[in-house]
Amino acid sequence: MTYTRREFVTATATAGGLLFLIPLPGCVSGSAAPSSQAIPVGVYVRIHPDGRVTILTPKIEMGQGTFTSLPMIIAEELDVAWDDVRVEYAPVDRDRYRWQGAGGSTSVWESWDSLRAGGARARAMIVAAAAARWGVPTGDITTRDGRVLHEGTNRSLGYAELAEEAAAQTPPAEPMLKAPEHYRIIGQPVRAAGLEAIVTGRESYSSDTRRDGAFYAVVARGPLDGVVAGVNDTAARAVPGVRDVVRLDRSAHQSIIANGVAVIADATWPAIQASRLLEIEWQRDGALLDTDAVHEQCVSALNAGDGEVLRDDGDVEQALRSAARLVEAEYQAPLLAHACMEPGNCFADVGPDYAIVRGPFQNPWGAQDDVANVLGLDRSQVTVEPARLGGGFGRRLPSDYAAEAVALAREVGEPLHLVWTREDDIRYDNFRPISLHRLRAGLDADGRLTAFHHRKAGTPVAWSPIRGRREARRYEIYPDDPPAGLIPNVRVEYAPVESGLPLGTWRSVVHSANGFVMGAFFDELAAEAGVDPVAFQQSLFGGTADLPYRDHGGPVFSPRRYLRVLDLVAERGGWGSATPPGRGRGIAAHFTFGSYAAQMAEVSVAENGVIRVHRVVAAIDCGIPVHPEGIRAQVESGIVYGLSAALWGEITVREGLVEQSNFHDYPVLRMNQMPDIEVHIVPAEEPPKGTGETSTPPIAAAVANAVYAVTGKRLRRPPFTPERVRDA
Amino acid sequence: MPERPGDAMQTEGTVVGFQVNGRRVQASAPPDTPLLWVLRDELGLTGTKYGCGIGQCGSCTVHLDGMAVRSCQLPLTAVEGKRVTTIEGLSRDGDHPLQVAWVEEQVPQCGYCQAGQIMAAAALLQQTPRPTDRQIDSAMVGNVCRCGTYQRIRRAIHRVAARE
Repeated sequence: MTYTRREFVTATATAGGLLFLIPLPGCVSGSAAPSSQAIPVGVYVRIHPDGRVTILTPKIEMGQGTFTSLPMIIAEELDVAWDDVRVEYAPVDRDRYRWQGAGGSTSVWESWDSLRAGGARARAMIVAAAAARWGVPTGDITTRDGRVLHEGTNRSLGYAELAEEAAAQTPPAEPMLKAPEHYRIIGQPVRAAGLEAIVTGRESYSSDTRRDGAFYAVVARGPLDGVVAGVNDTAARAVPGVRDVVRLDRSAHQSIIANGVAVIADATWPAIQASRLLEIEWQRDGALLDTDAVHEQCVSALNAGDGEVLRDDGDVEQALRSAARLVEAEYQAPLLAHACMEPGNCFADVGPDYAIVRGPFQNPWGAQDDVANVLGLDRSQVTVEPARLGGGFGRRLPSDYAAEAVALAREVGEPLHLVWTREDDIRYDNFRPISLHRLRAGLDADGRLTAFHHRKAGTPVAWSPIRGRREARRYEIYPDDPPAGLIPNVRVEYAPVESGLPLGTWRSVVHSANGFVMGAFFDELAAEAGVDPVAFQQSLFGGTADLPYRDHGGPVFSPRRYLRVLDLVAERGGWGSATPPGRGRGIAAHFTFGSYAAQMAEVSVAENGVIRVHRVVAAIDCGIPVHPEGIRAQVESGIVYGLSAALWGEITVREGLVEQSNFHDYPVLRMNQMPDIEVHIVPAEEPPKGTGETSTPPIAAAVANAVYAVTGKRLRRPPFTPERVRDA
Repeated sequence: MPERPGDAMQTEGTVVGFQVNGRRVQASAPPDTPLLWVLRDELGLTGTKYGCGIGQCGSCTVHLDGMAVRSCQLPLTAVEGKRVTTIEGLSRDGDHPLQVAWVEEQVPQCGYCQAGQIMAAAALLQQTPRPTDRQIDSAMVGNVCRCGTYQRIRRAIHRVAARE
């Protein structure tokens, strides 16, 4: 890595106190500026004369908690009191910041080193300034809660009192970092930032943007591959408050999921009402497969032996032939919607040489690019205003709301707020892919796994119409996932199926289906081997050193850390102890984006097939736990998200139309179905890794395994509806 | 489009008088307009959220004469002469015991549903100051949270009940 001036903290003394810029890692895009030019990059820290500290965090916040965790890291090394810290959203500015989006559970992990170093450099500059003023060695100066102290002479000063001198200091190249045992913020149960605005209703989500003179737009859409053949808008135009009816053509930008007809009105309600009164004649372009047809194609692909071999260790066929026992199973995973609480929306104000947008964007830079692309502007002419997102979960990495909103605003010639209804949100998603998995495994006479063959067919995210055609397996299967490397014979194949369906990243992405499949199949193997499921995995994963892992979350997978979370859950959950009458326990673990999660579910199954999950004991090892309360919340959240999908989540497409539409037919977990979740965080000393997605993959397997324990039935096809439980 | 939004609404809407957060207001909109959109678009009270539009998620929960209602299902004409409280009016300084407990328990993640959750919980505690888990279930079952904060919501409600 070459160090440029961007790696260094810069400081400025202002009337408002002391301002630091702390670099964040990542690449500044090439065209942003010539490299010789020193551009402040990173997080702003302002130390006010009264000791308050304002930290502007450039990463978007969608509930994952980086609004708190990233500032915590800076505050720790800067050595200020967390109670003095206020956090604000930084503007979207790619010349000033590194990537401001959030995805792949990377925010803390990628910022850890640079934020610590940045905070420590800023502190060092202040200490050096104090040393100079007092004429004492820097080594005699300590800091605490935003003040420098010299014990020998009992002198102390607030950081901001040294603003001018500190700003003139040169930041040290290798600042002294705190030893973890001296942490007062990192790893502590600190107050989360920004909650007061939420609980009082003051937080302004993008959907709350209210600008004078802005119209509201609601779009009527048809089949996913629908083409508008004719529109009768007489009834729609007669709704009071309706100003116009215009076409929304998906050719405006590749991120737009479907064609539609937009109603432009004075307020949201007339726009919604009128959109339902539009009589639209739809034709279909014919390239889209319904979900039943996709499944058939998956079956054909696997029957035909299609599929690219991604890993082929040893001789799987030979090993399976000579195995004492052959175990085979077929698993499926359905399309899933994200169902963020805040439906899609975007405010757009467009002129000949500018555009302003505000929407729920997981990747604000992508939104900026997309808007520039739609309007033929330079991206420097596009302002993306920051907003907290009402949920993201991977849905909002593409910026289709922005593309739609600016296309409509240009057409109408007025600023407007595009509003998606919940029905739009469920039906026009970038869905989690469909997949079909055929698994074969060989066990030796002692019940040990000797050979493993995973053949997966499915609709790749990378082939979604909004992405073009990229490496098919990229978001579908990681060939280094266990049991690869643990046993000599492993074969992994993937057969992509072209569907035309809009597909995308869904919390935990590649692991959302595979984590279920593997967690459930390990349980089947243990049962076939006549061994306790935890003991089976202890034998499989035990005693192996770190293994190379080439995909996201690498460079290594640690079987030791995997077993540590599994063992922790088994121990804390009372695995092996008597189960309350009528209940069964299941356990599963998974490695996701650098971190390890294990869960034990305790369930009962009613006569009618309804599963009740009473209790989940969970463990996570995400490296050094920076913000334990936030991690705990993410574990709870990941489990609830995965559990909703496991019990009820399924999107089906028929004649190009999504058959579900809202929370009544795409149910999600509610208060009365909430299990007691007990979270254990491993006090790891490795650098922080992903947290936001890690806890989603294991829960479906833990539940399926628990259902097996109590009923003897194997559930291999989520969602685990009462019908499927009865028929299993 | 020659006119700006709002130009025509006065003549096309029905004028309905009611109280919002202790203030008398006259709202003018077509009579079937759900209270939700009157609050958000006409009165600028955006703390009340749109989540589903069919009374399935509870994000739009407000109090109507002290009872929790789904404002997406309540036509404007139904609030004539009544008292509406939104999250903005639940307390003067954001210090309603539930708001305090919500921060202490670090309930919100994305936060979008939380105004509705708090309003539902506040109505519950009005009726039942010390609710059981089962009573919490039945009062809160209509409020969806996709971030999965239910366990913390339950704890926050119990925390307030224990203090009363």
